[in-house]
Amino acid sequence: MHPRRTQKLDHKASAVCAQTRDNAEVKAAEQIFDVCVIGSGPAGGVLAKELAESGAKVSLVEAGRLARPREFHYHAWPYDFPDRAWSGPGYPPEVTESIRYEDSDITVDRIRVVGGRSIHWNAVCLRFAERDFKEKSTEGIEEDWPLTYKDLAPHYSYVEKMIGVTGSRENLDIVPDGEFLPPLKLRCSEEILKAACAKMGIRLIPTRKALLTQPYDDRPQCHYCGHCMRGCDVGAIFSVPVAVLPKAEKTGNFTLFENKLARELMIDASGSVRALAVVDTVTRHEQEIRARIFAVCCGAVEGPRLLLNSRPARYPDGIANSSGLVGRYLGGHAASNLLGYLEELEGTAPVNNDGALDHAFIPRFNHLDQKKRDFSGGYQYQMNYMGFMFPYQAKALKGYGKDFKKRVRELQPGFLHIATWGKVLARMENYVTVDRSRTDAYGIPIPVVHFKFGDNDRALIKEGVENAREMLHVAKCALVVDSDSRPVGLGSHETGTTRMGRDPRTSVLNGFCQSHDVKNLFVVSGSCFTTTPEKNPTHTIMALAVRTARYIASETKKVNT
Amino acid sequence: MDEQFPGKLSRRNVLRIMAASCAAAAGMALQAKPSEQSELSAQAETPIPYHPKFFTQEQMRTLDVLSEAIIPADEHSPGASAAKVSQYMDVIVSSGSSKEKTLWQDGIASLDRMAKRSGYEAFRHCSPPQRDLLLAQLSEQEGHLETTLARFFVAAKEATIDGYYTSAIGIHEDLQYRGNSYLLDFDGCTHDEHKS
Repeated sequence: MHPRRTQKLDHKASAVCAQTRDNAEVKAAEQIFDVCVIGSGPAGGVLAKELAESGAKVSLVEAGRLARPREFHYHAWPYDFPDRAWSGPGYPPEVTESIRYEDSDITVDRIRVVGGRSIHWNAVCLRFAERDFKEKSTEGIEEDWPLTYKDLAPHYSYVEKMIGVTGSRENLDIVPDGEFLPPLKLRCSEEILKAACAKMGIRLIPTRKALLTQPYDDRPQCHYCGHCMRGCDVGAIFSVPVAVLPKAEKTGNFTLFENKLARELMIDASGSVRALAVVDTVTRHEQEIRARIFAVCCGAVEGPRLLLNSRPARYPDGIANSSGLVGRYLGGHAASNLLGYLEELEGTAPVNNDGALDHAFIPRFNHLDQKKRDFSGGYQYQMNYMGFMFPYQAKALKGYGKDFKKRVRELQPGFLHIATWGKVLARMENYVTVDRSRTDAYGIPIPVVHFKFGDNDRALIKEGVENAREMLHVAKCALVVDSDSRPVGLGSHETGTTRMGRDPRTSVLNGFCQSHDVKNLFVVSGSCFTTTPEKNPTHTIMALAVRTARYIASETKKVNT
Repeated sequence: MDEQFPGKLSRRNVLRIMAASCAAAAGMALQAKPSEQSELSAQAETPIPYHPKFFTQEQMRTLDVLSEAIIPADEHSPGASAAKVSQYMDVIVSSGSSKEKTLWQDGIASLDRMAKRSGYEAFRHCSPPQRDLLLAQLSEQEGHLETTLARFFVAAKEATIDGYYTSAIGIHEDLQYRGNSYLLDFDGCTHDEHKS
């Protein structure tokens, strides 16, 4: 069944390109698109589809190529590879080589491929809470967003129905309920932790992710192989090429440009963007893609890179940068892992625990007490997304020989991974810029990332890890493989580098992800977040993409009537 | 199951992988005819010898003995030697930094010197009880990586863990890992005492 299914998905994804690739060059030379969307990840993919369905002629420009589902190493074994690793495709060397980190605490993981990060994500989809849009009003930190939960709620619902999200209704203000498919079932380790958490007054609930627990929208349900982050071969996890682009293609309004790396945005005499200059990463051919409206959807590093590299005489500091804040307020998440080995499961018979990686989730709870803290913001816990194949405890155990080997084996069934995911405070001194003295393989100045965790971030993660350790203690562990409470980041959740706000002096975009300075320019990605709570960003990114599409469609209609 | 390194792929494995790839590309299940199956079985008897990329044959022998001492065969499953962990070490060290290469080269030499200081032959020639005594001393230093030998031992132990538990023997025979497969449904916890 599965090769045929894979082939069907390959065909589904390929059809998107096959129908557009041949005439894309001709179209680019001749056509002025209504909207040019740059970047084909969750933001760009959803935005392009929504606009195409509204009747706009849309071009979607992607620096990478279309990777067919079978090219990913799902279902492979480590011993299938010489170095016993899964060295998957999609990470051309020039991508990682072209980022420079200046004394940074973080790494940025990127993928240049049609579908962007939707190709290899863990698909956690959490609505932000009402308070998450009002950090200044609620906690006295950062800024309030120029929109509220109520503004975004219908778009969250729309996205959930579009992509299929598993979850359970829990009636918790901190993670508002949505339109859910049946929840994932908990493993024994998660049941034991749930009972321990209950003793501590903490709620552990089924996770919420864009994963199908039943057939949905012509996509099959999950088969629980545990390879969610290596590309899903049957499309049970939401990805742009499988679930979105075929719909865009069906409209007849959609053109995909593969392997086109954005060089700069070109403006006309009025200061509006008139074209995107791109270089073909295969042929090195340079061309311009013209449109009436442009949407930069390249994420929080490549997005500001493009804006800062677009420096016509009229905008010497980069386009959309009158505030000087393009690239500033780089945020995301801090994370820290603990591995516990539960006494109750020690030595039990091995079972297939793979499932869909994390099945359980502990929402933020530190806002519920009145305790005075030396930090603001919250943390949540996600668990078991490291997989169940490798015995991580082996490297924490001293010794050697038969006893060592036996101990590794005995502990394995009780494995429980719990990860603290904490808010990172939006701070101006964390930023992305470009280094004009250094260029990538195509002569484009490279991005430079400056990031340091602050006292708030460290204190927050410290408390989160202490609580995780307490949960494992209550659940009774034979071994806990400790982290040292130092945060790592940004968990592929970079945000904040073209933030939204009401005041053009202190923000780059308005509440519809539209540039304050250049009205036909939009930026949709984690970069437009004003602040970032402890929750995973992609659901909110897609909801913003839908909202922006509606706004563009309605504004365009106003102009045309 | 055979370990699969480029230099030691048996003909059977090469044929199996090629056939599986073609079948996947055609969207068809793989089924060899009976006559082909017997031919493939006969070819499995003649594995291609492994040619080290970095270590000498003597060093490979030392690593084979050392890794087997760290994760030995027992009544439950074969050990690191059967899982060809020394070949994994050769692959990763050959593509490692010059610093790593130096550590492994110097470490193996230090290990032999340690054995000789104890009145034994080179480590690879030591008897199992002699190896056990030497490893007991090395293991005591796991938390204090002050010497080249201590650092080498930890690097070799970690590589043994990585190599063994990513091998077919480590995954399937020792840990009896049940995953990486297609399920119609995921049952969740089946222990009555743990279900909520």
